[in-house]
Amino acid sequence: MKWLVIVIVTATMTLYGVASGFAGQEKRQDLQALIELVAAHTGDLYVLDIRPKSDYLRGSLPGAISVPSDPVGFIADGRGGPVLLIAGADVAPASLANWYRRLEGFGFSPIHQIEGGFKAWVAAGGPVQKPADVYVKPGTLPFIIPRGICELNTPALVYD
Amino acid sequence: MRSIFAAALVFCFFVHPHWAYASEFDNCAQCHLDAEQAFAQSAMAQAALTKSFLKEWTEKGHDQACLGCHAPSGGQGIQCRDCHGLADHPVDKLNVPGVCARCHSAPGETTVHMYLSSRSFKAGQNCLDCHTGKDGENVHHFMGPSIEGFLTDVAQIRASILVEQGRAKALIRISHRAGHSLPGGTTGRSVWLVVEGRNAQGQGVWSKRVRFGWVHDGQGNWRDETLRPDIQTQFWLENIGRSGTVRLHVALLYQFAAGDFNVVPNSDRRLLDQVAVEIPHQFEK
Repeated sequence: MKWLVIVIVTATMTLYGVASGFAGQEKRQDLQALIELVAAHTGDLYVLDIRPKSDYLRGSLPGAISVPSDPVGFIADGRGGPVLLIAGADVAPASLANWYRRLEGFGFSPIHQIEGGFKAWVAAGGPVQKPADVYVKPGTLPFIIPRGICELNTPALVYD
Repeated sequence: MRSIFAAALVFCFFVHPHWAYASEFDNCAQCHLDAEQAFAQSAMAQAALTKSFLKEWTEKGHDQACLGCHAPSGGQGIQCRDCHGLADHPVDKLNVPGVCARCHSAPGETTVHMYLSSRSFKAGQNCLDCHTGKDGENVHHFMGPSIEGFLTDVAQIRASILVEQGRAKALIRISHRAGHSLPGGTTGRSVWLVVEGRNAQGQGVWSKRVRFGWVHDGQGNWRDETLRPDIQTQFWLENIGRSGTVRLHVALLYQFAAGDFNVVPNSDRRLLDQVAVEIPHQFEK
């Protein structure tokens, strides 16, 4: 009898874990659809990279934010919106489940995840950026254009 | 007296044909009353009459070059012929954005230039899709940020806090859906990000402001520090829990008039977006 209770409890917990905490499985999407999603969104999509920071620095999705592996270290403004999680292929299911719960708690929806992880994204031809390549220190953007219409009464050339 | 007036008319129409032609074109309203009336309400129709223009123009010694865009044909601002030209009827359909670029792509004004690199351009939208009201065939209801409601939902800020190795920092992201840089338009406009740390009583205990817009270096060069189209701008703020801060309040404001934030009155600004995020208790100092 004791064994039966243990088996039932274990089975129930496993099923619960798959059904709720691990809901990410069913939210994983076709890679091409995700590539289009990233291309289409400019503001409301959060791209969170939960891999180790060293992996993130070697390359991630455009606009991705490196977040701590512990989801407790991520506090959002509560506005929700879509989110895309980048995880390594070896991510622990429990960690992933915690991330889903955390994001849902802040109202994020839908939560997308790359089927096959970051490696699959690269293999599918998804855009990749090295964070160091796109970082611009405020006020240092070298975009100085010559004098034109106001100073010399000469229109700036748009179609040169 | 009548003979003097007649002589003047003869001079206008025959000795100075351009005046005669201009006079003819000044009567567009005879056939295009709706278009004329709609355009007369626009800021462009009074481009040489605004308080900010007159102030800067006076400071520059009434430089005639300024009128090349603010009143090319004289008067209070842009007139029909400035965009439609002096060709015979029917006039050709305007080359948009080329006709706009003549003035909206210049130092301190790369609106069209940025538009050409935007998703809006790639999607086939042009300036008129957003900047004119829809009134059948009449597309002369020009609108800009000074029109109430025009800036609604144009920009969005998101704030989040990341805790790593016991230290909390804030990430603020700005995005906008203008089909060009924000702010577009003239040099003096700016967008301000204002971050305020507030204590448990809701009082501001520190603040940080960041300006987006054109910067003149004092040597004739302009530096573009506007918010680019289709690109998120991100800011990291460290040490956010200082002075008893329990909450970050983040606001994005559009400022019409040139000048520092502290000098320009609030009436010259519009709130684009605001958001707040709580700081976990363990990081309050």
